[in-house]
Amino acid sequence: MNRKVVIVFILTLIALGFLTFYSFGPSSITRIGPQINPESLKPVKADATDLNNLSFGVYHNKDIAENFYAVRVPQSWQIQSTMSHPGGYDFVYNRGTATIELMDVPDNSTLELFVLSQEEPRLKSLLPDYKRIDYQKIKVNGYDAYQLSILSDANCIRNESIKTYIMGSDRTAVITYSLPQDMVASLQNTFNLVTNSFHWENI
Amino acid sequence: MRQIFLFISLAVLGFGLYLRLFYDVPDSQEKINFFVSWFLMIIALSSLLINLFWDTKKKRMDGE
Repeated sequence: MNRKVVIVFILTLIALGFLTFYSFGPSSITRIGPQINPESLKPVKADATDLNNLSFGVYHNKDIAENFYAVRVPQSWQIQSTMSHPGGYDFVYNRGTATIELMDVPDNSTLELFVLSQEEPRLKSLLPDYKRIDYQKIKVNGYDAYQLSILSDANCIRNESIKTYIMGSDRTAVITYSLPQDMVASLQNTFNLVTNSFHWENI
Repeated sequence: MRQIFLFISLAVLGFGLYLRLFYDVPDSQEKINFFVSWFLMIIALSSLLINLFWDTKKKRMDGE
């Protein structure tokens, strides 16, 4: 047999072995897929304050190419950097949490169809005593968005979650506020400010 | 026969490049996409090389 062919065959086997190790080996998680950009975790101080005199910081997220965005968040909200995921944030405040994440909507679906046919059933099966309070189509800085407000039970407390799905050119941004139902009214203005501050930076 | 082999190799290479560069990878499937796309490209490239070397040898033998 041709020696060069044998060499190519052996090199191919070595390359495939290396590829398998690189793709599924112990440290593959940190190499493949989106990574957290340290710059994304550093807020820039914003000038504006809200009705409650809260000062804000602007987070510029640059974790996932084609999906850069900026969002203004009260500085009193504590970022949970250990729980951070590429393209997203987890915050805690008073007795509630806020999550910002990027979600991939399949190309063969629309955002509204995805929210109603996949997201809502998933939440319904996940959360005890699920009840939809409101669902509406809104605009966030000119982007189409869908807002789903739901009630559920968590540790014997009636919790309200407000999820806003903001359409992007590649992925969808999801902003979720979860807190006891009786606190929603007092923080509604802050939530509106945070949600309406969201904008894509590469569109 | 050689042309068919060459065509299949190029098609596999093209599909690998498509998966790597243009395919909209769903969340959490980056790893499998990375593996499959590179797997196809490696197989296709080695097929092309094997095809090339086999051809060279054949020509040399014909010359002799």
